[in-house]
Amino acid sequence: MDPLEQQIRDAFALIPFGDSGQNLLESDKVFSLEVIGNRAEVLLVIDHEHESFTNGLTQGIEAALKGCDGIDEVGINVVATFEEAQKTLAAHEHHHHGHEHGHAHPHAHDHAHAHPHAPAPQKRSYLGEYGQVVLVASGKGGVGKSTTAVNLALSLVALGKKVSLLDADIYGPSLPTMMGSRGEFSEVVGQQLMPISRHGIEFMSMGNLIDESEAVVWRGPMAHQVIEQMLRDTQWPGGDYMIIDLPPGTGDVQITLAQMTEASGAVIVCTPQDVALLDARKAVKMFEKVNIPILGMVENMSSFICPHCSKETPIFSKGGAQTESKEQGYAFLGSVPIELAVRLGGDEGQPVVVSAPQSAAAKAYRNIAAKLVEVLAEED
Amino acid sequence: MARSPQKYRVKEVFYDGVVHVIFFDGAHCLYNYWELRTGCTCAKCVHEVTGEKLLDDQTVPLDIRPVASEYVGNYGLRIDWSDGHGTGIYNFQQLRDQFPHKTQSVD
Repeated sequence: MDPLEQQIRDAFALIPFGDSGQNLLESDKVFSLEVIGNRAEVLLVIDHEHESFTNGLTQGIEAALKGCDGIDEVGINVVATFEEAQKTLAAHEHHHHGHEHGHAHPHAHDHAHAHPHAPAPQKRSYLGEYGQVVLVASGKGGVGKSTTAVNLALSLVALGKKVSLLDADIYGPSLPTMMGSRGEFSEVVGQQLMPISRHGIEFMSMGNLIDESEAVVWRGPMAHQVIEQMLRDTQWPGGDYMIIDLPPGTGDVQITLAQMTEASGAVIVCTPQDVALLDARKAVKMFEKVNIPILGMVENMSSFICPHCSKETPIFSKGGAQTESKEQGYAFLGSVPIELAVRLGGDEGQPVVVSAPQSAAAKAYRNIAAKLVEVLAEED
Repeated sequence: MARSPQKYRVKEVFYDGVVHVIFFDGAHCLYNYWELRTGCTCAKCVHEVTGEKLLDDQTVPLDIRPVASEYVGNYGLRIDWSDGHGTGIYNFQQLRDQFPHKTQSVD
């Protein structure tokens, strides 16, 4: 773009269009702008409704243009309708016929060219203060998604990473139970929500914002708003990883997060049964549509380890997720056995990685975390 | 690897009478304003269930142009058009694979 045009456009973007909340560019009132030598001619279309803005606007425009390189004189013409503007411009063009024009020629018959071009798109995503934003997802509920999210987050902490957690399951938040923050409420400081801190992790959950006995029905648009609020209004400390525990399935919350963050990718949690794999495939499809890479699969409850004899029993069969991830071409992050310690830890607010670090499950989670770090390093 | 294909990831977007989209694999695609506006797939322009087109193309001014825009997550572009419409998200996969465009070689 012509540097002068850019300069003028930048200056116009700073001029408010009255009290409308828009700036001059957004208001779309500049019909044409022409620079001939050191003189700029502006034609504005201001309808009667916005007449009261005229004085402020013309003063703002004159000052803005005189501040641009090489412009000493400014002429501003204000008309009330588009048709008038076209006529005025046609007469003006005729008058100037034969003159040498400078920048940004308007064309009476080609309205599009009378406007500066739109600026390049803005980035407006949240959680930019984190190196990696990882979504923990599943096709169906009850596969251990939150357990995986929590233990994965804590395993990353054990690897020396700075980690935060967001419980995006606004329908059935389970982080307060697992992290041991039930009955506690997130502090509000000014307009900001303060995350709760446990086991070296800062986190937010709907369960720490409203009374847990309350059943809240989040309709689509409200789900969108409440997620945006948790992203935007929380005083997130920032760090290496933001782990987001999604609600099961493919719904409003998933789409909202896909739109409002630049997620590094998704980890899909499933159990070994075929039906869970089928649902997991749907989740994968959804992430593909919104350009969120699949970082890998975790097979949860892949076998039962007897607390008495330590014998392993594949209750739900085993290896389904591993085969699936191989077939689909993404990483298999690992499988986690069913162990009493996992459930106990979760219910007591002491996740197994913390409460029983030597257990088979805790080791499995640490391996999964290490694998995830590896996969993310390949992604970058 | 799992990474979404480079052909669907966007490096740069700018406007100069057409929409320029430069993808990570180097493709430089040009989209006509009016075609893009009338090709909007949002719920106001296309029926969510039946897929029937609700927008009457004749109502879109020929001099339609973007006035502002923003990236949406990893996957799309939302454009505020000069006719006041701004709910459509243009998915990069659709722009690349389905939407009519011209290509330009990258210098």
